[in-house]
Amino acid sequence: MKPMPVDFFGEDDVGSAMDVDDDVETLEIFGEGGAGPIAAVDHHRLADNDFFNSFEDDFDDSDIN
Amino acid sequence: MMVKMNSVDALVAQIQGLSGNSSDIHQLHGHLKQSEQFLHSESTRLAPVLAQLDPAKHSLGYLYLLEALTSVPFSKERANELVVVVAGFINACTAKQIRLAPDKFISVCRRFKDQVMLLEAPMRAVAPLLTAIQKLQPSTEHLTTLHPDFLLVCLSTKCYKTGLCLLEDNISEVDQPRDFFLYCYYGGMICIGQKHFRKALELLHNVVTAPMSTLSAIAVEAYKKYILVSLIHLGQFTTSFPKYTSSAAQRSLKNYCQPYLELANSYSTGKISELQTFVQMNRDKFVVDTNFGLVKQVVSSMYKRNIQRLTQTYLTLSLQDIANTVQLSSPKEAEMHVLQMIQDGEIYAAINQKDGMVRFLEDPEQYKTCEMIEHVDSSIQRMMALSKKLTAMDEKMSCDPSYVSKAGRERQRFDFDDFDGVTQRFNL
Repeated sequence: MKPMPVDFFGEDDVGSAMDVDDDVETLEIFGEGGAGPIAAVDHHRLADNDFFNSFEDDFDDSDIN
Repeated sequence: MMVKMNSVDALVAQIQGLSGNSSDIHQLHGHLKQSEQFLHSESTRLAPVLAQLDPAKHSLGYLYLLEALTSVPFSKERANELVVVVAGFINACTAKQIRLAPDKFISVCRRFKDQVMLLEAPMRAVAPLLTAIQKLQPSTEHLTTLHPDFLLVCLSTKCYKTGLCLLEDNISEVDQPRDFFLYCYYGGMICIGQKHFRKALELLHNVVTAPMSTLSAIAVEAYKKYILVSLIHLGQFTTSFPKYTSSAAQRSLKNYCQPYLELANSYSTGKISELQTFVQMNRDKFVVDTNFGLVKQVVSSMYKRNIQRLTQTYLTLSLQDIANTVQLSSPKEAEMHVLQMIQDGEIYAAINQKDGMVRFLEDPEQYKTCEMIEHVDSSIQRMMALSKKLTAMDEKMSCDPSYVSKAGRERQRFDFDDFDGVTQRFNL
């Protein structure tokens, strides 16, 4: 039997997943420091931006079969 | 010099003499900790000393020496020798002993991985790192720092099947968030390589929705791949985030992934020519991200989606009509697509090659075979075990001081029933 595909970001049955509860503070267990969420986004400062991501294979299977 | 060599000899004698039982090893561990600085100062002289030790019997002592030996830079020739020594140690060492000094074991393994990457021979690390993980982790539920390193070398060598075996373990204990992000991201890529798209989506989803106060570059790359795999596997993509996604990700993630979101928009039109035009115009962006191969899979998947749509309308259709409707160049190409989809279980159909007609069939699965019953039963057993584990984790978390403290402060924002019994102000 082929399993049913599951969309992990799919809409919830209860309410709209588009709505974000602004008054609910996400528990940031892995947060850095205790200052809370950063108010302004700094596009140049992503955490872990030195992680290794240089792999030869880009999953091009057009030459297979 | 004579005094120093005697000290090394003395340490070797201690390692040889105190590796017999748990009590001796405990004593030895104390000596080794005290000698750590000395060993690092003698790192260039330790190589010949290793030959006096048995990596299986004297694992702890051997580890301390090896860690000191590998802590200094060395030449490429030396690197080749050390890679052999470390691989041999990993295979032979006793798990019980190396678990007494996990940080040192991890350091040695990470340096080993770095060296094989510099030597451009990552294949030499695949088997040893898997062995290292199996010896280091207290159980298969524990995620170690070596997990992402292992998956990294599997990706570098395209040993996807080997990497997949590690991903079958259910992880529930994580020390470092970065390890978890990398494990899920690399793991997602391993699954993509094996075309296990469902599992890939699950792992990539974990990175994107993981708690983070600052957006992680790993989450950005995971989201890009999530969008592509979602289109390939599901034929659609939902832009909304689950509510448990961090505010950092919800706020900023899409800003870094615009070309991918636009690709998903173009895909949703169902028009192959529009999609191909968009892909060509933005090719460079996808190439820079090393995602162009996956993007090509997205384009191919649109043909499949369009053929699947036909099965919902027609009982029979000619290969020529399929080619025309789906914009394939010839009936032959349509036949190849249909055959592949039948083989992959994506459609149920029969091709009459005499008249070039395709007959679309119903799913033959009746859900009443022994195999199906076993499959359902094992799924139920797995769900029950997971539910039990989740309940235990929830109970443990509800007693965690930092959680209770925060939940107590947030009490007024939730329903009363969520925090029954938690005092309004809970100060620790």
